Amino acid sequence: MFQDRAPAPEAQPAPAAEPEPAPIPQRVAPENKIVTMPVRSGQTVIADKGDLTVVGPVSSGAELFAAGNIHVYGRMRGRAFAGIDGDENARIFCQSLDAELLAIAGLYRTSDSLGADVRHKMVQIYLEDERLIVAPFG
Amino acid sequence: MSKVIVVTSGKGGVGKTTSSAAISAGLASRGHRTVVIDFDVGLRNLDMIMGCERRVVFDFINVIQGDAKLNQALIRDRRLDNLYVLPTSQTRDKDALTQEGVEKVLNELREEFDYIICDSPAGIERGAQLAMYYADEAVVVTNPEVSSVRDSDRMLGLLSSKTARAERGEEDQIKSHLLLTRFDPKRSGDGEMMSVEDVLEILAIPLLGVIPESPAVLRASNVGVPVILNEKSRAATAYEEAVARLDGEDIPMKIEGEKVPGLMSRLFGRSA
Repeated sequence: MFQDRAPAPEAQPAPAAEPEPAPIPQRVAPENKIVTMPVRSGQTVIADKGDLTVVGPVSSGAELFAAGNIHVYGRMRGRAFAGIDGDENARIFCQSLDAELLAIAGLYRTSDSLGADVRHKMVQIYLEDERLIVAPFG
Repeated sequence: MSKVIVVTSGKGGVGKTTSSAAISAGLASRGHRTVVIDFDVGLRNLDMIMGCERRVVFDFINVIQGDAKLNQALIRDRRLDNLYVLPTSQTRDKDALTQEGVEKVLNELREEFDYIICDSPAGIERGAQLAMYYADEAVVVTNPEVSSVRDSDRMLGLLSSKTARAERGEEDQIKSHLLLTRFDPKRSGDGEMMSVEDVLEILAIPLLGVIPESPAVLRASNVGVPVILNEKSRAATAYEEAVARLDGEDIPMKIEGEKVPGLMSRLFGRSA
């Protein structure tokens, strides 16, 4: 049988038994960082409370660190460390992959182990079963 | 308004001093009052390339330490009336340079000269940092070869973070130009050397000029005459054009053995 009205108030469990509701945890927006200049060899950019987006090239010898994801819109030749606080869901996105080293939550791969099929391609890098997957788009 | 231009590279032996000599001679022959300063304390070379090593009495360090007046240390070039050399000390080291001292000398020179060319030492230590600290523009000298390009990239990072202009804020950043030296079109064409486009793609700054590898450069150094003032050579012409561009002239880039790539003209266009 369908009921065409809301259940009667007495059908709800009595909320009175509960004490003061716990304060809702303050939602803090992640502090994402955007860099719009080339990241040069020897430079380090850190986004320790969120995502890091670089609009420009990242040179070999440059380092990117982020608690969250890392996005690079430009040739990525440097080192990228995503999920530095242990976030295994963090990902790295590159418009053109030529990185020296890629790491997510401490698991890394070096340039040596990247196949020719992903080099200079648009890729995303993520963790799956403790393995770092480098997957081209499209 | 005078301009302080640092000639830097990170890596040694790429042609900083040769380029400093050529650029300063070029600017002077275009009628600008120009001074070139040797920041390579302890490894004094610029005076030899400029051919004035026998006339050094006082030097940059003497002026910084108050032992001599600036006018006593400045050496006037014998070939060009409006070109001066401020040599450095061969007996001291980089620690003799102080930030206040460098600032004081540069401020004094700014009142007299249109262009102040700072010939930076190799490396990223004190000498190189002080050479670039007060610069308005930078000429980054690079060879078409991977280690030189990476070091230049490092210098560009320092130019955009460890200089007075960078510390002052966003707006009037140092303008950096790329000067590609010792370029051999044939070896670049054969793939033995990086191409102009490869280098520009990595460094992403406007191209000032491409100087071909030439025995004329070595000959000029040996006789102590800036390349630009010595015999007519392809390297001299390339330097002349680079200087004209530095001086704000719009001269189309022609590179032997390479067709001008799209990227290059884009980057060059951006410098205006």
